Amino acid sequence: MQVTTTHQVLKTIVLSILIQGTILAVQAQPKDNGGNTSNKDYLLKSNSVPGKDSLDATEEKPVSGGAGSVMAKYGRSNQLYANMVDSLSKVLFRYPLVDSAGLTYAEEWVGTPNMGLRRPNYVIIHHTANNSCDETLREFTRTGGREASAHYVICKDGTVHHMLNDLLRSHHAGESKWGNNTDLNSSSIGIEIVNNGFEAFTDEQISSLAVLLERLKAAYKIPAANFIGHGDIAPTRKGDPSSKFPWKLMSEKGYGHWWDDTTGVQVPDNFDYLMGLRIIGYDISYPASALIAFKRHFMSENNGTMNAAVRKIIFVLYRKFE
Amino acid sequence: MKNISLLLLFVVTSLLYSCKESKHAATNKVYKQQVKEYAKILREYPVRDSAGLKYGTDWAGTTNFSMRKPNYVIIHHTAQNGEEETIRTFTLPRTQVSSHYVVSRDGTVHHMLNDLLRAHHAGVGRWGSITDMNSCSIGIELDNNGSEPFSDALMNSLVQLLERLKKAYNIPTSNFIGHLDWAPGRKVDPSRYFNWQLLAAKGFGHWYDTTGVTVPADFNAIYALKMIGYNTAKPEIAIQSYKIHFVPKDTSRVLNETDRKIIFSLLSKYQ
Repeated sequence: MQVTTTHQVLKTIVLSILIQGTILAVQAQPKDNGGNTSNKDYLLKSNSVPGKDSLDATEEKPVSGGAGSVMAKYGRSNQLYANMVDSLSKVLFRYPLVDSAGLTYAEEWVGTPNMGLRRPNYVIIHHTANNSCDETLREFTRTGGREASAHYVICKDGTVHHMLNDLLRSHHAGESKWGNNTDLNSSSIGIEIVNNGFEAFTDEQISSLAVLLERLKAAYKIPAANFIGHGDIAPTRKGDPSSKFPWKLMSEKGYGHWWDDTTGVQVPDNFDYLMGLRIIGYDISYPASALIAFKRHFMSENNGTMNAAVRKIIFVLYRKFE
Repeated sequence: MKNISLLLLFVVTSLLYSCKESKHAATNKVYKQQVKEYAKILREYPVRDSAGLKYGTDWAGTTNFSMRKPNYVIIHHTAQNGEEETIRTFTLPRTQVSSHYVVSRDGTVHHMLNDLLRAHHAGVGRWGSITDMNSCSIGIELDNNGSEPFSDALMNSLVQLLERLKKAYNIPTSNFIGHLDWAPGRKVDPSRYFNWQLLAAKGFGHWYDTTGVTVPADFNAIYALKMIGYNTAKPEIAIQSYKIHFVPKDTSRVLNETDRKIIFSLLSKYQ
């Protein structure tokens, strides 16, 4: 935008003062009641929280309030979290919205009050490929490393760490593709389960996961089809969660699809299994990798062998993704 | 003393400024309040919102995150008589509808909502596995009554706008689609007058080339539409949307040999 006249210069100054003022005002709000639902919460959480944890009311304290014992261990990175949220949400306060070079913008800015925050439409399951919760939390609170994160971490004993507001974008998917979606971080919730990649997932983890998925599914209306694994969306790069993850059990609870009995199923000769995989969502640029990912998820196998049985399962399954 | 004069300057200019902006001041104020409310939601921590979960005693926030971004652009026509009417619709809370951008027939652009926020433009529909398009897209409304050509000035502004969006959010070429593609049957915008071929030539959406294309006899065109992204639960309405978008002159709802060629040619681009 070209600022040409003095009026516009003045306008810009005044606006920036106003905007700064707004931000400061928001920052200065007491956060003691942070646990209470704000006016807009019902938009997002109404059907999700039948009875909130009693923990909420008593333990939620402002991060900026400092050195409470609750915050002691991760105090520094939690402060960083708070600062980052503040600076990210400043972006939302920018108006008038004139941001494309060369576009003819209307002289008067008009905003719409009909808006919301972008929400997740997928849940991506990972395993951490390490042995401890502490190690994972350390990694996700470290800056300057891989800069990776997840919304949730589930420890071996079933303890859940909710490390990022669901409405923010976590960096868990990396370069990935599902259907024609190429920014899964922007449209998903990432859940990391502590597991070295070769061992069974604990019962406590699976039952915590089920409770968590129930809330996420209800809160964001996530369709059953959209509970998938990291290996599904990045077949050439990732193999998690491992073939030991109980996808069949999860699908019985409504998270992810599964195939039924395939006895008696006749697969038409012209059935193109790659098109089937693509309709399910797999990136088939590298067919061998897509097939391995499919077999890991839906057959608990770690190979890319193609045969009549696999064709049958793809045939039965892809129609559920319609 | 200096502070007081600064304060005075501030008060006077704010007053001048607010007089100047009176036309939409009231609804713009609502915009600002809403943004404030949403920013507050993002500031809630520790985050513990699942009933019955065993949460860790030490809350640890991650330091690696950002704002959710759009990955699709959905193009609409307003089916209204002029931008005034559209802007009025989008500034009334009771209508609950909005879009990020409104492009007028003279090419003027109204950017009504921050790109990172969720506009209410797509409604119920489905594209591939996506069921919440509002959350992952930018909505653009074109000032057009639905039965007239789109003006050159409008198309020029649209192209400029798409260029910026594509670059800013790394939106793939495939992901520039119409409201009708998202909601076949329920929606028919943008109309047959809309020049998708021109947009595709500039890198927004795909177009086909059927010269020399031989379609295998067992090619299933409906599966192919599904693969492109269409909800084919009711094939005839998926076909209708496909036709308006890709073969605007054909008003039928059945696929012929030409369509099979077109879809076959499109398929590889949407992979």
